[in-house]
This record gives sequence, structure tokens and C-alpha cells, in this order.
Amino acid sequence: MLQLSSSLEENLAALNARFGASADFYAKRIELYHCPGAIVLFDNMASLESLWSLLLDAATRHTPSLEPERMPHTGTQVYDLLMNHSGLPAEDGPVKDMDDLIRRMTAGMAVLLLDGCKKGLVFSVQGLKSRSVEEPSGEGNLRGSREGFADLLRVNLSLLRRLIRTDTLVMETAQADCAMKTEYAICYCKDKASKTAVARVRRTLQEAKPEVLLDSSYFVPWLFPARWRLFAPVSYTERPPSAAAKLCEGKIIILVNGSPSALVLPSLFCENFDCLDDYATTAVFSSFLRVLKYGSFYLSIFLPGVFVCLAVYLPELIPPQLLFKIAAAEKATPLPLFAEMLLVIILLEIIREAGLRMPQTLGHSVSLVAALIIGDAAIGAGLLSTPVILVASITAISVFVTPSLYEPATLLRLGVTLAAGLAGPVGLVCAALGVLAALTSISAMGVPYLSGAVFSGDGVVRRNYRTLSRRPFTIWQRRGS
Amino acid sequence: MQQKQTFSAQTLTLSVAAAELGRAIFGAGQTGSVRAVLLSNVLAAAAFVLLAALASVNASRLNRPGFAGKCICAVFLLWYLFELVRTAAMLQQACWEQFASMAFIGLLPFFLWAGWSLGCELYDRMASVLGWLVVLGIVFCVLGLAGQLQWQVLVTGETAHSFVLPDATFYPEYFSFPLLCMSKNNAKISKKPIVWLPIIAAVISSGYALGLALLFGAPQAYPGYELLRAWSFGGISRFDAAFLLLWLAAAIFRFGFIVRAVRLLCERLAEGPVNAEAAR
Repeated sequence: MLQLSSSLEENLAALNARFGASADFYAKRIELYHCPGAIVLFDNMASLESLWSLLLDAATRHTPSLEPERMPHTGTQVYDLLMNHSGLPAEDGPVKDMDDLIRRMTAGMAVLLLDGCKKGLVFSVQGLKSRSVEEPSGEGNLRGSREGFADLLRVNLSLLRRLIRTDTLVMETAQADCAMKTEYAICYCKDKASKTAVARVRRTLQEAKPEVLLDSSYFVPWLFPARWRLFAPVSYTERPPSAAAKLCEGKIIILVNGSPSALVLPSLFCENFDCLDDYATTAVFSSFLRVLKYGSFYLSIFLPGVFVCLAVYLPELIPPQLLFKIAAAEKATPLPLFAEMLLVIILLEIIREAGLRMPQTLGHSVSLVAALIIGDAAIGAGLLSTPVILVASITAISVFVTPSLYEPATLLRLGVTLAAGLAGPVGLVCAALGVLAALTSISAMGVPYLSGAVFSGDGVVRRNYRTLSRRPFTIWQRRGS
Repeated sequence: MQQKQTFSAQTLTLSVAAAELGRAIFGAGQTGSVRAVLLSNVLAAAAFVLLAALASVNASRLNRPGFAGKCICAVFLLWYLFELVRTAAMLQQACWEQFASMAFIGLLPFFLWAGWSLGCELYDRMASVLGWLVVLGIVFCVLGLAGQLQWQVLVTGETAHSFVLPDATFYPEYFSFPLLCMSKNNAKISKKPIVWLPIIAAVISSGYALGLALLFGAPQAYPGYELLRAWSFGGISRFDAAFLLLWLAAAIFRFGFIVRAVRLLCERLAEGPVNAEAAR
């Protein structure tokens, strides 16, 4: 760790060697009480206007006497005067080494270096330009707050602090050991979170060495190492109220500077099927919605495979009228039903991915072309059959009821369809057992992912909120269940 | 973290239930009277409960290291291997007869590998979900058959039959508590669920026999799966395939469980004398 030198020229030379080529590096030489000094900052990260108004205000309010015998000369004396005997609102902790200096400057602070002093004064004059607090595009809700996390870590921490106004909320910040030295925060309620779990998370994140850290999800391979995984025992949210609710359940939240996505751990499978709106509506309606979501999720995974299995291997189970329609549609197409189903599923994925990545100006055109190609031209040309497209479309829509499970649902849908198409009913059963094994094999910090919370008062069916509030839920109650 | 090396009662219960359901579904038919079948099941269950209770009470003696313990381990290993073959044969019979599929044979290496690799804790967690699905399936079956049962069969007189030994099968799970459910650290685990296993098997067997008799009368020579085929609920009448698939899942689970149990028993047999001394 390179300590600051007492020579101003050496410090400025070291900074010029590192940042001299950067256009945003700003170093202004000044003189205070006949002692040479320099203000260093990054332009557009620290606000020069704030800095000068701060300094002028402090200087006019509290100007030390100009008596010759009391006039300080050395950098150390000037530092002591400004730090301890003036009205300058400097930070409590001075800068003593180069790493800390760079860290403070890249956080938008301005640093005053003095010739003859090994410490620097730090001023919080951040003027960072960033995205404001807006409603997130995902996680739609009808009632409740419209705020979402922003990209700046400090803003996000303030949003949480505004909601949890107790002394139990702890937010520890640290820098990740990565090329970008990105800052992250571990948030938890100290009276509810498990101390061992917090310690384990803290240690794991300290030891993690991501190449870059652009989002909280980059930490998952260190937190839960596995060779392969379909489901991860974590969830994400961009809504401060959701994050605050999770904190009150004893969960741990990780926020990363530059990303609005908060990582929540540990998470349960059943939590993918509830949302903020659940508790704002009646228990009956929210229970109905949850049952619908569970049904949609399993429909999106199993419907194509079951359809292929029944139509190809067990046609006697399909009612005769429906069977005739399917048979007639399949007779007119060149591909077998199994291949058709796979093709349509893959085509829908391509369209979805294209819709997500393309510029918004082209979005309407591509959607129209995709609908015409698949919906009309393919059927009209006899390449694909209507029942197959109908089934694939229903599954494609069903999966968006639980967007947090989109990735595993897509892969499982393909796997179940392949298994059912290749091995028939036995393959379908094996695929179902595989899904069950994938869900039951996961646990995070002793909390099983497929916990019995499904059958609790806030699982598939939700009880009245007043009843739920009598026995507050903590995630660590599920440990080992 | 060390993987758990013991099973829970739920796993053994599901395994026994799957085996007994398979025996009932693919049974050859019922030639004796219903009352005789029910009585023989009760007697057999009582006897097995006593034996299972004895085995559980003397768990520490059965589980001790040394030559005697290894002999007991070897006997159970052979018994489980026999059950493995029997379960595989039942699965193949179901796949071929009901679904005209040889996929079980084709996937057999995969099932063996998966059963060998999956941990005991995973089996326990899967059993708690799969068990509930099986119970729901049974309830659904009963609802679909309720309207067709001829309850007068219960009070109709029967011709006298000579005494026949109970046709009850006993499974190694009844006596596996010391070997598969007990470890050094949880000697105080409850033994009650294990003792109930023979009763669960008896309930399944008796219920199935009663259902066949109430539907088709007794005696009758219909195979067991005809009871499933009789299911109807409004316009839907082919639930037998769905229930068979559910049973298939439970039976594959049992297959995997037996493979894992075989692995555990092999590891126990392979434990050297040093470990035996440490255990003492």
C-alpha cells in the first residue's frame, strides 16, 4: 500500500502518472496560509460548484486571524487548523495512502493535498450524473410503491434506510476484489438474520474474485458453487419495498454499485409465486392468483411434453373429436409432431430473444413479421399444424406469469418435450422425477429450496394478513425442515 | 459438509407403498373371499409389526460391528438385490403391457447411475412430495369409483373355503431401521413410523381387494388394473393411465432407493476393522 508522501510534488507526480492521460482528471494548485496545496478530483463526478461554494462559505464564516506569530506555515499545521479548528465540513477520516485516495476520488469526492503533510482532507461534493429513481420495468404491481432501485449504491441504501427506520438495519459496504473495484453492500436486520449466515456471506464475498462485477448475480457461483444448476436459491428484486420485506424476514440482501438489481438470499421456491400485490388484495383473490401461477408454471413445463406423449404414444386417451382434429392437422404437415413441437418452441425462443435485444424502433416490425411468418404463412403453407402452435403459444404465455422462473422453465420445457418424444410415458415420468430432483436437491445455508412453506399459512393459499401478522415469518424457521 | 447417510421414515413408507400398489395392480386376481383376504392381511400385518418392533428395539444389537453385524448386513444386501430385480421386472412389465414401451430397459443404466449417485437427503425430500401426490392420486381414484361400488357384496353370504395361508409379502424395509435409518449421531430417532410400515402395506392390499370385490363381486379373476380402468368421473374415463404414470414415478423412486440402499450396505460391509473399533 503506497503511503502519501509529505511532498506535494511527489503526490501530484504519482497522480499524474496514473491519471494524467485522462481528460476528467482535475488538479488545481492553490495556496492556503502560504502553504502550497492542490485540490484533486474527477470532473463530472465531484461538483466544482459545490466545492467552491462550500469552501467560500466556510472561509467567510470562520476565517482564522492573520497575526504573523499565529500564522501556520507547514502543511501539517495548515492541515490541523483546517481539520480541527475551522468550519470546513471535511470528512472525519483523512486520506493516508494512494489506494484510499483513488477510492475516494472515484467515489466523487474532492481531496485537498498540502505540501509537508502526509494526509489529505476529503470533501463530499459528489455531483454524479445517474439514472433517477424510477419504476422498474419488471415486477409490475397495481398497488404499492412505484419506486425502484437506481444504479448508484448509496442511493439504493438510502431507499432501504427510508423504509426500515430502526436501528436493526445494518448495511456493510466493501469493495470487490475485481478489476473495477466495484463497491457492494450486504444488508440485513441484525435481530432477524442468522449471524453465522451473515458471516459466511461476508467471508465468501471478500474471498470472491470476479473478473468484473456488474451485477449482484455475479456473486452466485461463489455463494452457491455447483457444477450445474437449474434453480438457484436466490431471488432478485428491483423494488425497495420488496427488499425491505425480505429484510424483515431475516434474509440477506446484496446490492452492487451500478446495478439496480438486489440479490436476496436465501430464497424459497414458493416465493417465485407471490408478489407485493398479494398482501394488498383479499386473501381469497391472492390465493386464487397463486394457484393460477402454480398451474401456469407447471403447464409451461409439461404441456408440450404431455401433448407429444399423448398424441404419439397414447392417442386412446385423447377424446375422439379432439383426436380427429389433431390427426387431420398432422396428416397435412411434413414433419412428425415431435419435431414440429421442438421447432416451434425454438422459434418462439428466437422471437422472444430478438424482441428483447433489438432497438425499440424496430420492435413493432419484427413482431409483425414473426406473427405473420409463424401464425399465418407456416400454417397456410402446411409446414406447421395449428394444434402444435396453439400448445406452444399457451406455454410461451404461461411462463411469463412467473418471470423469475423463466430460465429454468424454458430449459425444463425442452427437456420434458425431448424425454416425452423419445421415450414416451416412461420418459415423461423420468422428466417429472428429474424436475422434482432438481427442486429438492437445492438448499441454501441449511434452508431447503422446496421447503414445506408451501403448505404454511402463506404458501399456495394465503391466510388473512392479520392472522399472518400474529406469527411473523423468519426464513431461518425453515432451516433443516 | 458430510452427506447424510440415513433415510427417513417417509422414504421407506413410499417405497413400501409403491411395492404394495404394484403387487395389487399387477396381481393375477382374487380367488378367495374378501373376508379371508382381509383377515389374512390383518394377521400378517400384526405379525410383521411385532417382528419390525423387535428389530427396532434391538437395533443396537443388530447394528453392531463385527462378524455378526456383517452377516446381517450381507443378508439384507442380498434381500435388497432380490427386491431390486423384482422391482425392475414389475416396472418392465408395466411399461410393456400398459404402454407398449421398452424405454425402461433402455434407461436402466441411467436409473442405476442416478440411484447410486443421489444422496439420502434428496430421497427424503423427494419422498415427502411424491408421497403426497400418491395419496392425492388414491383419493382421486376412490372418488371416481365411489359411485360404482356394490356395497351389498359385504353382507352377502359366501361359500365355505378351506384355510389358506395369507398371501402377504414382506419387504426388507420393515426391518431396515437399524441399518438404514440409524446412525451414530441420531440413536434417539423415533421408531414409530417404521413399525407402521406393515400396516400401511396391509391397508393398501386390503383396500385394493375390497375395491375389486365391491366393483366386480367376489370371487373374481379380473387382474388388478381392471379396478383402475373402471374409474370414471363425468365424461373423463381414462384416469388409469394417469394413475399408472404416478405409480411408475413411485416405483422408479423405489428402484433408485433400493440402489442407494445397496450402496450403503456395500459401504458398511467394506468398512474395515479400524472403523469398527472406532464405532465401539
